[in-house]
Amino acid sequence: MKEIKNPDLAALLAAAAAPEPNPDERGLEAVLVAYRAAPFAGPDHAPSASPSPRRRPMPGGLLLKFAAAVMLFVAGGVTAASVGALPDPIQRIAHDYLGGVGVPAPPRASVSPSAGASASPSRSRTPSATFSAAPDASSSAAASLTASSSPSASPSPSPSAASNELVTLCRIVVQTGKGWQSQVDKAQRMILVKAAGAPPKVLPYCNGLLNGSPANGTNSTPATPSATPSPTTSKKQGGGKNGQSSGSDSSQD
Amino acid sequence: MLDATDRTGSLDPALDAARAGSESGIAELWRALNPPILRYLRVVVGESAEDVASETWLHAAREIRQFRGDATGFRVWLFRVARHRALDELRRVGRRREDPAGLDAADERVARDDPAAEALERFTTQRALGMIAGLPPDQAEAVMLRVVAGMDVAQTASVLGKRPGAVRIATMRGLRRLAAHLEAGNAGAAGNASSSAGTAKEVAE
Repeated sequence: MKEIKNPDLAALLAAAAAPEPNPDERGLEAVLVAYRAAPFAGPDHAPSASPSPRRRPMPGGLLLKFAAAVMLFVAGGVTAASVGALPDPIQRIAHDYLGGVGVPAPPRASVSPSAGASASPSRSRTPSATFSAAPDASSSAAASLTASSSPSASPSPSPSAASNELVTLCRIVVQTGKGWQSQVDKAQRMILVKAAGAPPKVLPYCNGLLNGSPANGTNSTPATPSATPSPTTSKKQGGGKNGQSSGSDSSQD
Repeated sequence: MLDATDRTGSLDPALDAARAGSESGIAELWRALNPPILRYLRVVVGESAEDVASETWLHAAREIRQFRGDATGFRVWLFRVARHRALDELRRVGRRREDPAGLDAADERVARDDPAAEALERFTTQRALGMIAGLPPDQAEAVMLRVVAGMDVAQTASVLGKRPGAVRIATMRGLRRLAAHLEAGNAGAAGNASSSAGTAKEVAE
């Protein structure tokens, strides 16, 4: 570029191009951060006009690790099930699904049908209630009942005992009528409410339970302590009604 | 005035270092090229210049390892990125340059000031940029890239996406216009009009 002869114009352009007296380096740090975060292309990287696609080494590695963790978990679960080391409800489910490959039933197999019948309409609902804390009231009741029965391996605090407790409580409720809440403590009230689905439903639920026709309760099956149905029967009987009732409760919730 | 090659030739080692992963390399590039980028953007987008320059450098920091070429090419590429970001910014705010009156305002200040006192601070950088910003956009950009950033015609044409002939004409017209405004503000300097037109033509070439 040739020199500008007009002094004013030259002065103006020189001023426009003059170096900054106090260069501000505030923006440099952000540039360095972006530079550090940018993917590195080594010196042998093929020259290209367009930016090369970013390397993504992590997703594959993460997937591999996740798959390994899942396999380890499944293998451990199967091993535990095969030696009968799982908690009773889970062991029962494992026995249902993997009994053909030698997974034993839980030690209280004789009690389990009543537990299954009293805890939930079908066994497959129990684990979902236990693990996922489903909003379904019957599942919650099943979870609480199962939890109360599972801590010890001794036969005494069995699910049927829990059902007996529920029946006892229901008798109190029925005898007391609408003022039943004053006759039970908080824990008992919780058991009743969980079994019935809601406080207003407790009385009809208990009526139905004691009369042998659980109509309004969400967890209509838990009862029948005297009945010791076989798993098949309890599923068939409870399945129809309970399927409907629990479905409606789910929709209510 | 330095040529683009003179200004950027010494930046080849810094560019190589930056491509190799050295932070000092990109820091050196930033220190050398951010001031002209910032001034060019001040003319194009006004007060958003720093934001746009920041976006430009963030983009450059991410892509510099993939860049192939010398420092002069990097400079052209960087200004092109800056220009595209600036146009995006102008589109975003829905306007063209915000200071069309900058040239007139600067002229008024020049005309009012005492000629002796203004000799020292006649053209501060801010005022000079304000006057250039008052030019039509194509002329202002051409003047900034040719004169302030020190690019040659081909490089300027590459940044602006125009033919070299169009760049020459825009630069010449811009300089003539600036000279005319300066002369209009200078009482008793009427005889310089023809010479300023001649100098503008020289610069444009």
